[in-house]
Amino acid sequence: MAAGALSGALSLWAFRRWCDTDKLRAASNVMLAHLMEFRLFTDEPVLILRAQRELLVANARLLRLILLPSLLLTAPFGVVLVAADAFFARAPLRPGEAAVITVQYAFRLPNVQLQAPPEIVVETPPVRARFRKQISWRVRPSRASSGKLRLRWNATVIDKSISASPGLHWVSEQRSGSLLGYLAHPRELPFSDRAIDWIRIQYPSANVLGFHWLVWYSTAACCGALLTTLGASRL
Amino acid sequence: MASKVSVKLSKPLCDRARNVVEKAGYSSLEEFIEHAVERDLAKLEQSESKDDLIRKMKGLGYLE
Amino acid sequence: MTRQSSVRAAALLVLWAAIVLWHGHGHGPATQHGAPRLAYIGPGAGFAFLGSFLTVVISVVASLLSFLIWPFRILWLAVLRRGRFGKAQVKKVIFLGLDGLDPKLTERWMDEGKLPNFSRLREQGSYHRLRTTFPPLSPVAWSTFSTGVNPGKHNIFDFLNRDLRTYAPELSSAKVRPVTRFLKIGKWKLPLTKASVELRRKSEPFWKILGRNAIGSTILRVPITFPPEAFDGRMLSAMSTPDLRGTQGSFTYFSTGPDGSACEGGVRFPFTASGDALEARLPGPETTSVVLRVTPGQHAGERRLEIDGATWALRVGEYTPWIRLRFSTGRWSSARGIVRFLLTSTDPDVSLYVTPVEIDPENPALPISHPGYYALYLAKLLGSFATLGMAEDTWALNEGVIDEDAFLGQSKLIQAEREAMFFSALEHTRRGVVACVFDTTDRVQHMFYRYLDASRKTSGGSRHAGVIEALYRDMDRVVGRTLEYADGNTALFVLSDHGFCSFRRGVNLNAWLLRNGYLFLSEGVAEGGAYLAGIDWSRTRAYTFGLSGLYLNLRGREAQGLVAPEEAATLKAELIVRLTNLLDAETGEVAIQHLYDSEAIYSGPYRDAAPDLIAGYAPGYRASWSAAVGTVTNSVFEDNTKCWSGDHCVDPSVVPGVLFANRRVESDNPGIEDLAPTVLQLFGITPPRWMEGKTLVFAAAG
Repeated sequence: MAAGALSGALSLWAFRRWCDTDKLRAASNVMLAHLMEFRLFTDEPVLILRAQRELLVANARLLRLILLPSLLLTAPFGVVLVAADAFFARAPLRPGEAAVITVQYAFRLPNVQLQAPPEIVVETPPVRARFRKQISWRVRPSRASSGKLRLRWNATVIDKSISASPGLHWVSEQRSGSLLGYLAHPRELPFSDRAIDWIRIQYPSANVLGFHWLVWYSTAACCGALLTTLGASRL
Repeated sequence: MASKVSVKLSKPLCDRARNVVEKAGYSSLEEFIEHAVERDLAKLEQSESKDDLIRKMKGLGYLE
Repeated sequence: MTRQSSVRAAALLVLWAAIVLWHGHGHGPATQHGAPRLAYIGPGAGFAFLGSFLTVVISVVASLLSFLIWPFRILWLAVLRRGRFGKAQVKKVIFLGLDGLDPKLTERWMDEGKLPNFSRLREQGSYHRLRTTFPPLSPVAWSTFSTGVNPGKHNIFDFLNRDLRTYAPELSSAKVRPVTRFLKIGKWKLPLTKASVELRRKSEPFWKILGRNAIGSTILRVPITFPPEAFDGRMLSAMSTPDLRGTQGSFTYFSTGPDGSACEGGVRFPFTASGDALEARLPGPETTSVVLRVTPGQHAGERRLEIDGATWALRVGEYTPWIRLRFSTGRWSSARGIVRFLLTSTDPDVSLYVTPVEIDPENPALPISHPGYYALYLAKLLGSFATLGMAEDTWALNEGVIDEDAFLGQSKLIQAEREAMFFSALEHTRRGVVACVFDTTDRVQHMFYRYLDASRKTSGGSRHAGVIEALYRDMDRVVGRTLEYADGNTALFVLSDHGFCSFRRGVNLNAWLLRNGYLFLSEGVAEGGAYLAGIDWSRTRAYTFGLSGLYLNLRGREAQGLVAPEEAATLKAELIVRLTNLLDAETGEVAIQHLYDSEAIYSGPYRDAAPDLIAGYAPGYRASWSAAVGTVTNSVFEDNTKCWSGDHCVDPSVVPGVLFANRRVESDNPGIEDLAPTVLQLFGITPPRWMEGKTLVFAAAG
């Protein structure tokens, strides 16, 4: 919640800092005016068309005005949201419930083996989906635990964290070999092996007090921004 | 602008009224009826305080 | 409203709500945070993108809907019009009203080649002097313009009317009735009803008749349109729209200098020093106020203005933009107003002039437009604007609170706002009527006529001698721009409601009535007070207030009426004989040319509300300032020493208006009542029989 409120305030600040708010307000005022024209000049299709055109122009102006802060905000918000998504959107495996582990390989992957900690039972042999180049296993934790899965083929060994517990904590859904994948799932460092692209555990999805965490986050963010607005100028 | 409500008049009365509307210089039957009601209301309603009336005129360029 | 348009309105409303929320109600910076589903481009931006995307989607849907409905609308309109478009001679009619544009001055400057566009219009179309109303006042004449009837049928006889029971004068054009029913919860009072505003102008304006025939109009700032009436079209109210304090415009003036005397048309307050800063309270509606602080600026002629944490720069002689203020009127209610500030001096005293607190068009406390959001639309499209009926602050100049340059500056700003609206309306009108009245012409002539009047000694005359000529040239520019919108299918009329003349001497007819035994003051009262105070009604037979009317104290009509109805005609005849050619002994001039019997000049159901006699003052004369508010003084004549030095409350024959048209008008004596039936005729509609004006006949083309 605090992070949400803070990010609301921060983005507001960024918009104030990097946008010409007067121009932004002017652009959105003009947009509103053109929207009202749809109602004011109902009987004149020519005027409706013109309102439409002017609305698009005003829209383009608005998007241009928010371009810089949008780009600048992408980096910090990316990090915050990725972390929050891993923490709130996915729950650890529940003891007794099955889950699927999937490996995406690049070319071919013979003789692959999956080793799990003693609390987690690997219930099936590897199931190959050749067309998609994926191998899957079904696992089932017997009680709360956390440890490492070990994927082994030929002389190569890659570890992937796994956790099972009744509560919420930061789980790492995927470990990958690429930088982009790492950015999306930064909890585990990328591996250097090129034979596989990623290993993923399908954790159950979670919510916070009945709603997706994004709902709470955006509410907090809106409140944060609103409070900042009120604080900055009470008019 | 004030919203309008309907009031029913007996047809004979309404017809009599309609006949004189134009002759009396009204633009419509509604205007005639409203004027008749207003005239009597002016006798029955309480007047606004003189101070309030005078305050409302303040600033009219033509008046000191 | 059709079902489809309701759906569309609802869709727009939803979008609106989204955008308004995102904008912090349009006041704060235009962004807030949200929509994290698009989080990877930053949540704030995400919502902005989403907002603008939604806007586009909805506009596309709305326009598609509009195109789908269009054929049905056209069919429906055709039914409403009943083939009248076939008979219509035009597609568009433009009325450019220039309040108080005087024919003598216009003709003179046209002849001198100073008004090329007016001249062009005269040559290509026609020019006439336009007969005005009894009396020649804007509210009366423009009401006749709108309705095509005499004041006896539209009920506007002056700026003022009177309450027959209390003899209290009141505004003739509109009445605001306060909230009367409240819900009381503990110490809080919640209003159950809304303040009601009632338009006193009766009969029916031409745009309502056009609307019923499916011809839309845009009516901008035509006087006596407050509160706005519902019709098929768009309207912005004008003259008689009050300010937020409920007056017709009262300025506020703050100064560190001596308090000065009480002033008309506004309030004066001292500043309170607090360290470096000066503080004051700007009063709003009822007992509300807003605190403002003035702190030193970077240079000598500069200050900083702080209100509620926001700041603006003040420079001597420079108006601020419109500043939106919020006056808290209760725990959950507030009224919003707009003002401009003008720093008038910083040395030796810091003085700050504030315009009347006008109704905010983006959040109007009272209805000022039709449809209600039309004022909001204009403000969003063109920026905020003056909404007050008589927005140019003539009293501030009269009282010396602002100088001539500041007054002209204010008038120019207002003129620019109105021009923007007018030309935007022209841009958005393919068929129908656009009518706009500019009243800068009236206000500036009122205040600067002294510089045209050779018989008056004016100081600093050289600098302002050309103000009125420059004003007419500026209107010529507006006419030139308007001509660009007048194609072969357009009828353009440029008109004024009355002319102008000098106002050198005031006449107090109450004093004359007192002196001649028609009016008596109560025992022990030497001179009456304002608004008919101190008059002994049990003996008084006639009295005056307002700008040209004389009233009999008629039994059965006035609460303490004395004159028997059967004696009224004799008394009127007697007054007409005695007052016609009333001589001003001091100057040797005739002050009253004619006295008109209202029975002879008015007809219609509202004649009872009219004055019984109308004074036709000679040029140079007018009801004195004291007589206009109904004071009984001891002297009949007095000099007018105010800046307000031009007027038109004289005999109507002296101050006709002008009528230019872009087609040849075959009429030897057109009157302002002729325009309403003419516009109906131009659209193929037979004028209703209660309309009195004659349709102007246009010469055949070529």
